[in-house]
Amino acid sequence: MTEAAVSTGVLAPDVSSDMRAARSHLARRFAKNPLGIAALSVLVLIVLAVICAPLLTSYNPNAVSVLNILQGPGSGHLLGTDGAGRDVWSRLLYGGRYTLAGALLATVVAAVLGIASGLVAGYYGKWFESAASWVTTLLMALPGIVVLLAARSVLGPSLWTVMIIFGVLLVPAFYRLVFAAVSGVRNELFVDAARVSGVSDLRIIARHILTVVRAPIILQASIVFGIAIAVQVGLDFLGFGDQSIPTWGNMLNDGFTNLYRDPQLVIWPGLAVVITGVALTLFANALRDELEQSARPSRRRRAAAATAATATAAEAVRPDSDTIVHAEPDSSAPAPLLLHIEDLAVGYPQADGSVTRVVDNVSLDIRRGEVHGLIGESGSGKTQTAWSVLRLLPAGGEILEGSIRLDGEDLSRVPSAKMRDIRGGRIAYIPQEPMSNLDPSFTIGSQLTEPMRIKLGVSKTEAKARALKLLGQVGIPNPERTFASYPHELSGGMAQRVLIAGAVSCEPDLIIADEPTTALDVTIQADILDLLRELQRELGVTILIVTHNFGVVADLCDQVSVMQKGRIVETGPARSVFADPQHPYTRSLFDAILDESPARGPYLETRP
Amino acid sequence: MTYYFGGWLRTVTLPVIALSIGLVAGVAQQVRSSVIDALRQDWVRTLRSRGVSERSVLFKHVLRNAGGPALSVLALSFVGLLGGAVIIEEVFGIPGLGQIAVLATSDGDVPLVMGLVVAIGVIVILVNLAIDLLQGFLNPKARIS
Repeated sequence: MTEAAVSTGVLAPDVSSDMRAARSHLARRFAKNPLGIAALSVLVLIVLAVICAPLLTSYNPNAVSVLNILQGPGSGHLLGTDGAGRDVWSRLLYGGRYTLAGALLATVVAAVLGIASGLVAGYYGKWFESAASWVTTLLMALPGIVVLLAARSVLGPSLWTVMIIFGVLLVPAFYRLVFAAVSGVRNELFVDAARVSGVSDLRIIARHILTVVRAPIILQASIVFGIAIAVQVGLDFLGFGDQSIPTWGNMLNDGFTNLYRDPQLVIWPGLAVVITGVALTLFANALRDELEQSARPSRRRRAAAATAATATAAEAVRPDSDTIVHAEPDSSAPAPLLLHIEDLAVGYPQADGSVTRVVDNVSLDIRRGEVHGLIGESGSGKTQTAWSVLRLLPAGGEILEGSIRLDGEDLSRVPSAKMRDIRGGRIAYIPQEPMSNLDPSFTIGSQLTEPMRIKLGVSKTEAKARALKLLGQVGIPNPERTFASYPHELSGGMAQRVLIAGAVSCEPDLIIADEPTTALDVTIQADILDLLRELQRELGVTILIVTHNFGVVADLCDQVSVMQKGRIVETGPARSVFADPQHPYTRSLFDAILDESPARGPYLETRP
Repeated sequence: MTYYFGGWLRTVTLPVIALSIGLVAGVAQQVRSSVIDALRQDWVRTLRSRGVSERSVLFKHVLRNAGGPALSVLALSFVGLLGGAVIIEEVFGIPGLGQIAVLATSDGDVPLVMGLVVAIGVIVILVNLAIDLLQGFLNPKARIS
């Protein structure tokens, strides 16, 4: 028991202080949101005005005066009088009391019932969860106003009864929110820890779970409050409200009856409803914006990490250090150049005006028919180099300097329409992660045939025949079935074969493969490498393969370039780089495999 | 009674604007955020690498993937639209289900109002069914679950 108490004592302040920090963070950021603060001020002003109604007007909102009907503004009445000679300004203020109080009642009923049932259903689950889900779905299918009309014809015109019933209809808004949040945190470690240390369920719910959903509940409440005002005003406008009390809806009703004699009677209550509604919506939107931002610290942190990584890459660029070039063996006559990259620099302009360089001074020659490995660790700029050849750098990235010549034509300068012809047609791309690189909403067949119909100008049936043949070629056992499947029905290995089929479908000269095996199982990796080697031999296509794995290079490549921190440090025929690595970084990459690979020999009984 | 299309169009324009203007904004907001999400996906780069035109990437692939959440917004808002129609019909003097509900309430005709609640509930369910089927058409993964 003591232990439990101690551990809770340690745990609870930790968690709650964490959350308090997050909350005060949110409040502080909200205070800096001008629109949110303006909306909140308007709301506070409206509430103060209706509370202080007796100070702002001396008229009785219900005092009928037959002699004074439909007087214009001024004339002793600030906003004039209505169809029964009642003072409009005082009715607006006192009416606000009833309208806002009614909407508040509906919101409170909805919040109390919704939060309670959401907590119980989310925390305990079981039969209560299924029952509650049924009821909420049913409530959501009911048309609010018509149900209220029915209630009104049975129960008579009472603002409070009608608003309580409407509150019940609005329960799903809170139930769904709380249920989703609670079932999300139910199995979080800190909740488990609290439970194990013997904290009562009620305390866990109140202390650890309710705090998580507090801000979303405020957000939802302001939306629901706006809906309740609209519905209540609507009912009163239709003439089904309690005529003995002033409400904004009753004023609208009176104004609508006298629309042709005194149109301004509609304007005042209308303005009151619109201003309140807009302020509530803007308040909710501002709160949601801030909530969404605080829900994504991980993304920001990741971006910061990425910037840091690229920053180190940029720092370490040494302009004086030259690339170590291994000589070509003399015996072979070199094939013509296909891709010639010269002094390429890629960078991301930052908000402060500086430019983060991720690739600098990179030169690379790829000859027709060769398989060229571009190797380096993550963040070395190899993928950025590959993407700049395709001119598909992520948003914000640009080619700063240098040229990328494909058969002499500088790709960094061709217009984007021309580049679209080159992509897919002359240069193809095999991505790293097969499952996320197929559009989940279209069949494999339609994704394979779409580029072929554009690039090769073939008919639909011709494209299908080609696609089926390609699928067979890349080793898919049942091309017809795969053709008709959706991406989520394929395994990772199959999806990668499909992507390879897509890359070769329009007979490109150059294929850029970005770590084509990294995301796959080890056995499938070998199959995919075999497939690439076969296709290369059959089609004679040139391949630039980006990898961090020397095994892949050894398996496949004729040439290799080693990249470190945005620069190429060593390049040459794979054989001679393997035989005699010069640069310390290349050597360290080799050491990394050697450390990994020595297999332990079989255990020998006859040891000396 | 004869209805002319031009006349019908004229009488229906303002009520439709009044009823749908808020929802238009909601749907636009939803489509915007799901399009932004979809454009960040890896397959967008792969489609572009195949030389697929920007129009096809945006209007065929991205929009179809972004359509699901927008449809959900529509499905959830449909009940509210029917409720709003009760008031809009009263303002514009349209003889629809909403006006029947209003008249029945002022006459104290409880069975008729109850019947309308059921009828509208059925319409809501049918519309949601149709939207669910459309979701299945847009998103193949939704077809199984």
